[in-house]
Amino acid sequence: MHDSPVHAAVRTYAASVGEDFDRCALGYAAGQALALSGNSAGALETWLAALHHPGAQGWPVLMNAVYEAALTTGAAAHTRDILDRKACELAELHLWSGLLSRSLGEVDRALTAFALAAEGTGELAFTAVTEQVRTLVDNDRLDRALAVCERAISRDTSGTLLLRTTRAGLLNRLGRPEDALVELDAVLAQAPRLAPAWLNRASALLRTGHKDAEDALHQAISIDPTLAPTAARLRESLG
Amino acid sequence: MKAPRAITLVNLWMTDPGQRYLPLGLLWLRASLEAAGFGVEIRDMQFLDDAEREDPAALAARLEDSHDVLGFSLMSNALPLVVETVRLLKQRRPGRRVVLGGPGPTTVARPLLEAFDWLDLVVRGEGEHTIVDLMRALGDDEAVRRVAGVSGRDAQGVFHAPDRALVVDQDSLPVPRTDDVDLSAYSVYTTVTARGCPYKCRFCEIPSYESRRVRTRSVDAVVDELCEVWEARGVRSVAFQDDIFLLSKPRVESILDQLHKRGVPIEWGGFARAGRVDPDWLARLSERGMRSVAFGIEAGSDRLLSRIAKGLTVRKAMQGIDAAVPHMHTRCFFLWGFADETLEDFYGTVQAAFHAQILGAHPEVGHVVPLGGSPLYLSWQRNPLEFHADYPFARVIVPPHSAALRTLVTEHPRVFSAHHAFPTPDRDAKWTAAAKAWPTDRRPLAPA
Repeated sequence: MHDSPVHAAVRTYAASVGEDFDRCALGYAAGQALALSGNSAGALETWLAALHHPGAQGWPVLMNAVYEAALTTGAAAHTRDILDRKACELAELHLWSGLLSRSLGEVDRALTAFALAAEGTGELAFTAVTEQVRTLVDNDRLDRALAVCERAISRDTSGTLLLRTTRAGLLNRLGRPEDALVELDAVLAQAPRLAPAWLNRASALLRTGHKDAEDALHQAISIDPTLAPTAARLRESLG
Repeated sequence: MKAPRAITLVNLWMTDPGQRYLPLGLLWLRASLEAAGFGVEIRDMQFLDDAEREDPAALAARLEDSHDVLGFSLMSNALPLVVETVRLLKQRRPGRRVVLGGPGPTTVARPLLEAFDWLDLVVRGEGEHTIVDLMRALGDDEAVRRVAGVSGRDAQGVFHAPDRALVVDQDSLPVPRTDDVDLSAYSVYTTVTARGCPYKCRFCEIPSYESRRVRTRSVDAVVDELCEVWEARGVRSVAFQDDIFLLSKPRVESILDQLHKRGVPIEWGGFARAGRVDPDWLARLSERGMRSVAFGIEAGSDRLLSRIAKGLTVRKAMQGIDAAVPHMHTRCFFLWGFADETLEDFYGTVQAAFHAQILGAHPEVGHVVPLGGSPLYLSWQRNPLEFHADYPFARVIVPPHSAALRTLVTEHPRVFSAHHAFPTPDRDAKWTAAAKAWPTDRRPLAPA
């Protein structure tokens, strides 16, 4: 390590706090100091070195820092390769590898990484499936997106109701609004305050020219006011 | 002037943007003044919009119909604004007697009165007894000169009466009433259960006017107040504004025990020392309504913490934060820009702030302020301070927006030290980092 004030501060700080704190959190703090001193590459290196503690406090914050630094330093491919090598130990890294591949325009590699992450459980699997679907939709591969979504639903992944809402959205986009409405009615029967479901219902109703679409939009916005701009765009594009 | 029977008290405390706090200091003064038979009108300027609240001409116009005696309560940040407001007011109403009080004028009373010949009187330190004695003495210059705790100006010049002894028995003070206050207009109900801080942090000026001796209200008095506002005013959450509320474990427990016995399960928050809390206690306090805590950490370097006499180590500080985060909203304050802060110290503080963030706390980082009564400033005052009209990072005290007030500040650095900065080593490197990490959200300065 170079003998600069910021490197000295990193060593001193780690010694000052002692052994009570996990290295992930300390690595994040040290990387921030390096980044603010103008050493973005050193920051990224420090954050990558800290990737040994999944589940530690602040893990998502650290991963976000890695992702942002990889993009801003032009080291997305290099970072992605490091994450891929570590991913055999930490399945979460497949997700972040996928995000970096997607940012590099390497869609198939991103989809493979998301699929690997989706084999996990819980929040990770849900997020991975969501990113997989988003990537496929962005690349006009709606049929495959629907298949991915349905496979995840059949596995009873965490966030099933949201995935069923997404499935309904895909059905709608595939020109099957009636099927979408059947799915959404079932979802809303279980979760009547699920705002995205109301939004997708409005979309399906608008597509079928049904007069209840405005009521569904109103429901979505009343539950989640931040959806107002999305609702406005929906009215404009379909109405 | 004739002996006055009434006073207008003006609240110009400006703290967190968007937050409005009860004018506690003025409510305590009002209680003492009313008990002594004086009429009191309180005008809380927190409710003006930013443009008007920071415009001396607008404030002076608003105060033209005040009582003949006018008292301002303020911190250092509002001092230039008040000095100019009083100048304009005196042009229109030369007969007004103006009294300044609160932390802002207290620690700089001498240079303040020497610099601005339109200022009349300063109540230094704790004001409840002083303001009553002063009101009784007004009209008799000799009597005014004898009021302990008052600095002022009369036909003979500037005078400084001796300091007033602090009120040891806080229960002897009349308790403020809030029956005419719209509590819903304020962010939270605030109260103070003790005055004074036993610590000797060198950047802080509280001990210079409140002493290091902590003077407490009785547990009964505190609990009676909270039960009263719970029942009569519907108050359900309280912010204890003591310098350190979690100072005495038995006292805090006693207050909570009594509140529990009387069926008043308030939610509450307060300041604490990170080195004096432990996970078990914080867990228990959380079960007893504690929802937020604030720690002054200041620095992420043991060397600097020692230099500023914080009485805390980095390790203890982070342990305290880590203990609090699972149980409550945890704010922690950091300072940078000290005169003897090395770049290594600075990056230590950067790490501590981000470490606190990743632990789940809410760090707030500010540029250290040369407060007039702080040991740090008093030992520095023969050296020059810097004035930065423009800067790219968040500050606790921002320079005035108007060119006229900025000139006032730069021409009187001893009066307005808090609007200046200590020269700090490697300033450019620190500024660049601070601008990225803690950018300012202030409005652009008006053209000079």
